[in-house]
Amino acid sequence: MTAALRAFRSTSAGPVALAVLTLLAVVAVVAPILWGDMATALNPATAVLGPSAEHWLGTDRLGRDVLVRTLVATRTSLGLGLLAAAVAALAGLLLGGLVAVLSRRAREVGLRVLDAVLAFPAILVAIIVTLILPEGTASAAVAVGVAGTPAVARIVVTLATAVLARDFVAAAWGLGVGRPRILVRYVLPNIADSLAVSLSVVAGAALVVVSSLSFLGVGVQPPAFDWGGMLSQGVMDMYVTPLAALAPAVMIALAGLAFGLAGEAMARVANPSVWTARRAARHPAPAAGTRTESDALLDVKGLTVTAGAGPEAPAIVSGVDLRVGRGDIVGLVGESGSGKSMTMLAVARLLPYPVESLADALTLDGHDLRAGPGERIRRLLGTRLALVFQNPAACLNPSLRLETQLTEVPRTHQGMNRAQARELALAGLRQVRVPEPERRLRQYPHELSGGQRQRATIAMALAGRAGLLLADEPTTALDNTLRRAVLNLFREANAASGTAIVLVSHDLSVVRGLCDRVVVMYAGRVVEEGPTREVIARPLHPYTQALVGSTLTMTTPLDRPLPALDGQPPRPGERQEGCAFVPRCARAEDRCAKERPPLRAHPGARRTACWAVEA
Amino acid sequence: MNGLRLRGVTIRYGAGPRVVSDVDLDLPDGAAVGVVGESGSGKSTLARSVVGMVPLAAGEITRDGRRLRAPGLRRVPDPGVQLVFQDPHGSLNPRMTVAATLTEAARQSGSPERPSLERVGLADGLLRRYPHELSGGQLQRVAIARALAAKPKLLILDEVTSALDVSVQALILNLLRDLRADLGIGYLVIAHDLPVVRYLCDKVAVMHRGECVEQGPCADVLRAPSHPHTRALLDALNEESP
Repeated sequence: MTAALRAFRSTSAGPVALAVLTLLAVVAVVAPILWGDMATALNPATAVLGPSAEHWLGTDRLGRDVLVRTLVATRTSLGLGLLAAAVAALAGLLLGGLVAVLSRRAREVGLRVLDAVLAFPAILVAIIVTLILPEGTASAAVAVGVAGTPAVARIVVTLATAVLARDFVAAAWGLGVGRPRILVRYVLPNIADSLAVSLSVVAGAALVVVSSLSFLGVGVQPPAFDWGGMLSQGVMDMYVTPLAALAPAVMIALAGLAFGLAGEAMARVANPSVWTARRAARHPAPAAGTRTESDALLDVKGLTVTAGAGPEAPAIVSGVDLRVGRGDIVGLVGESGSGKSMTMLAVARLLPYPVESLADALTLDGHDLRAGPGERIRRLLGTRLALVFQNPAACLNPSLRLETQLTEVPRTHQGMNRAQARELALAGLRQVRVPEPERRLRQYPHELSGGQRQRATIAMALAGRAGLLLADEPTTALDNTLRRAVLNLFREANAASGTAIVLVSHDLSVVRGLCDRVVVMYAGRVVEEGPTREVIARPLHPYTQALVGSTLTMTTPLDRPLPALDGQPPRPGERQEGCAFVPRCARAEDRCAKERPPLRAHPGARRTACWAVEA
Repeated sequence: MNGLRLRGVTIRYGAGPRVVSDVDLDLPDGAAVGVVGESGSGKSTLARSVVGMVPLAAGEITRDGRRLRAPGLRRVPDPGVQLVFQDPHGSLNPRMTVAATLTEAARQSGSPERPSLERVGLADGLLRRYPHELSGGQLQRVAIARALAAKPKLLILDEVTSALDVSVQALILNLLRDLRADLGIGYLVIAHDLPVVRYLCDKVAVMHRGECVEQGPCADVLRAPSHPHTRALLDALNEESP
């Protein structure tokens, strides 16, 4: 619970919402006790006065203090708003949950019924229900709750349907978990965060609608009063004492806003994966870059990537050097969490917040990339650097036709007109052997198969005639035949226009087929590098040896277990001063745990960081 | 025959073209059969139809002679067949701890005890963790432990290693071989990666555009493929590893 409260307060909206809601709660409890009598006492002698020392916000038509009445009305207004929201939330959850777990056909019918009810204005429903219900203060709130139910139910159905399609629900169903239990244990917890936001909006809206009902004269009836009723009366004297209307109006707005903010903070709390998220201040950008001398196309020296800023931030990548010459094809290999993707994102200046990077040198074609995301750097990255990611569906915008996306780079960065860019895109698609390129250009990404999408992103990457292509697991999502086609494309682009390629992969067989040189990373550091063939044929570092050994091929012996690496690589922040591979290494000595082995040169243009390997 | 038997299995979405067309496949108890093919060949859809996630348009699936799936047959879960999914992150409820997930699975199978993590090579210290705090390989082992809680006769492994690192892949493959040797359960292995099928299975079926174009013992099919598509799959593999 304390963790949840801490998480609530750690959000940007949390503290404000907490402060305003606490204040409102205190006022709601205390004000009627302190000033209850004063708020209802009639005094015709002081009717319709402006602000004075005695009445800070003036008085209303019957001579009652506006400030006192506004404060005293907090209890009724908030109470009714919350009651209405609770009715809407509860009934909406029940109704929505019921519709969500129905069979597919029944669900369709339920949804259309909900949609039909939703088409009817909620406030009219509220008024009708108020008139049906017995007269009383709570009736208005219940009526508003009933009117809000279909909207909540509709949201619940939409959110729940998405969760019901996930694998873990299928797994539970396969084990025999019943529908009601699936709803309570699997669906509700996973929609709780989105629902919290929706419900807070509903609570805010309920407050306003209850107030509107009072304003219209069908809500709270005198002598009881709420902000809506006060607003209704205050409006009549708007030109004499505007504060009589403004004060309750401000309170309605304030309470609505606080509900909204609280919902946003609650959404964060409902999601346990963000509890551990660390907040960090933005790191100052390094000095603006200028052209420096370097014959390499990409030159990275001493790259460090940290999760957050400051010396305490855990390092994801430490001291990585990477040099890629024009026309080189380099493989960057390592397991998940080894820092290979982060190294690539640091080069592309695409690190997600709050991840930060520092480097002794980071140049592309002689230009320093460490300067902030200015126009110059943006243009440089846009024209010289191209990216291909693992998931082609995620890097194509699903709502834009392929033509728009494939012509963007040539049009923005190369100043081409539409026809020229279109010709280039067509040529690109032909080059990657996408069938019927003219038709594809008019299509949206979902109309293409996975392999076609990946080839389209490669066409997009190659369309800009970039000097350097960074490809992060470009073939992992593809099957063998498509994988071969994609690797062939890379080879052709490299041979035809000298495009240099950095291929990030966990799969040595992909690297073996394409790269001249391979760099092996472990726990954020380079542990071995050298010509691909030699490294795979005769790996020096124990980690590379394990990696090569556990790669399955068609000749792997079937009569014994695969050589596998047990244990986990250390997480960022858990890394010790010695070699990070020690806990999983069969050849570790005392020295390895204490002293980190540097990258040392070995014959045949190879380097490795291991004390057990003779220099 | 005791075991799973697929006869003339045909699957289509709505009025669309057939995704799976007239597939026959036999999985005697304890056998490990691989289904290979490119993306879109229908192999995953076939697997999902066995556990009732996808309805059949024609044909039938029986287990131990009992009709399990057929057009119009009410879809009920069969604890004897469990599916392990490709994406370990999506196959566990993110709001349930490992302990809660396993307890739930045990409860459903009427077993009083939670399945042990040790069986799948994990430490009990992970029980209180949430899925987002585990690595892909750990999650996949939890998913396997959950499937085993139902004491299944057959595990359907749908690309279970393709989202994992090579070193972790080896661990999972070793675990799966050990489990089969110890528990005598059968596998239906869906994979695009031929070495994985070769490593785990006795028999292999090759799918192409929804049809099963070739099947037989792994050793025979992979050494001397008779269908051109099987040959293409093997060639793609050989070209990659010169």
